[in-house]
Amino acid sequence: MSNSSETTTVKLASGDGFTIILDKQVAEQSSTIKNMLEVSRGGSSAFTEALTNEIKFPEIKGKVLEKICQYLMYKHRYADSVDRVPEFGFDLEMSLELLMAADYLDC
Amino acid sequence: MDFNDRARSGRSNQRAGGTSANRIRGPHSALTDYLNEIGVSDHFRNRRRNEQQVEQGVQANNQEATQATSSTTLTEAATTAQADTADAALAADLQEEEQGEVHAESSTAPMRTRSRRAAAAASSVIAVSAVAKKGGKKKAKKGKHSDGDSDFCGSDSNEDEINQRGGLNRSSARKGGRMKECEICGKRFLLRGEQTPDRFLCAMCRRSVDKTFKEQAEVAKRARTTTAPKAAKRRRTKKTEGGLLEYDPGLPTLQDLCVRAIAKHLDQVDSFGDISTQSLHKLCRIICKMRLLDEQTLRLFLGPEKTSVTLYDCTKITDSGMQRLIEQCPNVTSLDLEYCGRMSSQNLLDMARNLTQLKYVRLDGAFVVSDKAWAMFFRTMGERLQSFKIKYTGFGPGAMRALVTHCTALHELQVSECIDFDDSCLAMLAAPITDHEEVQQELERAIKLLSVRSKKGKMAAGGYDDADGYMLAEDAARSVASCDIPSWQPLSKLERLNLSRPYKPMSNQTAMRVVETLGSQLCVLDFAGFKDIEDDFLLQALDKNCGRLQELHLSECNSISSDAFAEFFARQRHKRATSAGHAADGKRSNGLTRVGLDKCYMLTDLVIQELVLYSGATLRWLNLNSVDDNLTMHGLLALAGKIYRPPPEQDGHRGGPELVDETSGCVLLEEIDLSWVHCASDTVLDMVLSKCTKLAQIKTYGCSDVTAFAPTRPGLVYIGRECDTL
Repeated sequence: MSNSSETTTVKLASGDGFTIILDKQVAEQSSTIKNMLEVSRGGSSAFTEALTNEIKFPEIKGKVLEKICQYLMYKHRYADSVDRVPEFGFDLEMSLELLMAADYLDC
Repeated sequence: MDFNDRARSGRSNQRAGGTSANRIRGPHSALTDYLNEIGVSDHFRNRRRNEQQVEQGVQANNQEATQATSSTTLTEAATTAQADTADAALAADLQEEEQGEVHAESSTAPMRTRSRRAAAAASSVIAVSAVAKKGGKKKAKKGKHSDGDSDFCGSDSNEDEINQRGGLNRSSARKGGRMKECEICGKRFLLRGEQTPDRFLCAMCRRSVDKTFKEQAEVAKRARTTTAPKAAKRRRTKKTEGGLLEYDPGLPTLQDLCVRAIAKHLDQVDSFGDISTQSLHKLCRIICKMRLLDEQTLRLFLGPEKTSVTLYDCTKITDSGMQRLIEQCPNVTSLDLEYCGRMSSQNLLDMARNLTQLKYVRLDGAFVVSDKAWAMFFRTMGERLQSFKIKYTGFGPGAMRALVTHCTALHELQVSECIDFDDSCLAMLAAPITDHEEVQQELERAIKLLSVRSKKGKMAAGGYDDADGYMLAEDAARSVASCDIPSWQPLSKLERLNLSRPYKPMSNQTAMRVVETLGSQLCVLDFAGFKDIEDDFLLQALDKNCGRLQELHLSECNSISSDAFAEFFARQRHKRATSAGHAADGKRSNGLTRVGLDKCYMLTDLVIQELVLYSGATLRWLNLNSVDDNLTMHGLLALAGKIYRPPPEQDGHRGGPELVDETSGCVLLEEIDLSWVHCASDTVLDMVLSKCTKLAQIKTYGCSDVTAFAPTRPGLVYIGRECDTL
């Protein structure tokens, strides 16, 4: 268990059974995920998520979670970019669900 | 000037290890070379020249001349020749300081790296005379020195200067110093000063090393400044309506993108369709949080099927937006608007007229709405209004009179932080006692009578609900015969009363009258910030009348003593015990569920103990913020059911408190605020948590003894704990 905190990837599971394996550094751009994966939290013990490196989001659908991971990658790629940044596109239909998921994940 | 030139050339051609100078230079002695080699130089003189030039701005030139000839010390000269100006005295002090500085500097002369070029170039007649003056001082102090020194100074032969230089050199020589070999060029030099430098370098090498350092620093600095604009370039600034510049920090967040996309394609989104009310509510909250709710986005939250409209931020919703809200949601029963600073009096009246189902109203920050408009609103709403909550608005006596008279079905009333709400408004909740008030309220009742009659006569009910109508209604009311006017009635359905944090003082007497009138029906009472209510309010009015009370908020009521609080809770407990058998008293509350006693600084342990004894079994929410002056850990342990009492006095001294009783504690407690209660510590919380199994939130701002080791369990949150924030 202890060595798992040193792994560099994290497994994100959606409510409808999809799992996405993402680089930890990329995933931690979401402060909610970052807090979940924090091993030492001001004295209190870490969440199970931090030990197993697996996070379940029962309220987020696979399609939305995929889009969120895409956004995290996009942000990771272009955060320090000086050149013109391409627009991040998504379907308008999913924008509502995406908004609520993004609000939850704080990204 | 030739001195400077020569000195410079001398330095640059220092003969080190037999390397001879190629440049032509004037005659100079072996001593000059020696002095140059060991690092004694003329830099301090140039430096002083510069200082003198600055100083010269303060001193008059003619005074300077007299000083130069004088052989008295500088301070004497200053006091005699310049005593008339305050500036001059200051200048004298400055000079003295500078001379001290010269001494100090000369001792570290070999290590100095200052550029002398500028100083050498800057020289004038006045500066020279000023130097001479200083030399005079030295002369007076030190007398004559050896001839050898004059050789160093060459043709710039000012006797005073020679002496001074010699003196300085000597003093520095007296201080000692070590002969060292330069790490770079291998030349011997005199190292002075107490501290050992990081490297042993002669003056020349030190300077060149420092120069390269400086260059490096500059390159680094340039690199920094060149990268900074790059970052800044990326940050586009966008201008907001208020003319304030907002920085766009890099990439937009996903939430931002989503809301923007939704807002942008709002014309395509006719409605959110099958989205649940809960989700819609959440979406509204997110949009409000981002301050994006405006005329465009507003329409997504409106519709004829809506029975409840909650908007958390109406800052951008103008008159027309409000009108649209009224038009598109005719069936709304509950209206909750925050930050509705743009809402006009007319909007409010339109709401009352057109939203016929409206029962629950909560408006936050409707500054523009006037007292009269509120009065008209209540006249129109009448008995439809069941819950009315306002904050920060112009709610005054006129509005209150209308509310009390017309809205008799009201069961919840909150008027918080309204500037115009004063003691007379509070008094209207009780039967009027002054003649003036009686007359005013009769007038209001006459208006009510008229509107009822006009309704019966199929006249327009809203005939008087605009600004002019207010006056017309009053005129009409005066014509009604006084015998027809019904007598005063209290708000008989009112159960929840919140008049917290008034701006104007509320008297104890009035508060007591109100509680005597309404107390028996009240479940919730919030008199937070009523700083003038006293013990008898609690012990006479509240104790006798408020049997049904479940929530009590008396924050900042500092005129009530701790003893009165303890007595009140004790009496309530006894009353409950005695009334337990009586079936008739079925409405009596079993205990308080929410208690706010924050900022009642003086509360003692006994108060908490009595509170727990009375409502320990029912308490869910407790605020003890800043109750710190007299509270000890034994008081807080009452929450865990442990009642400590000081033992009876024995032989003139008392021992520590003893555990006298143990109850089940606050088993239902869910939230507690212990901020700034310094006796709250890890151990206390450990015991409290062992009994309060439902506790989910503890606020511990400023509790230094609640540390990272405080007890935790799933579902429990600490807010404001120092180790989390610092």
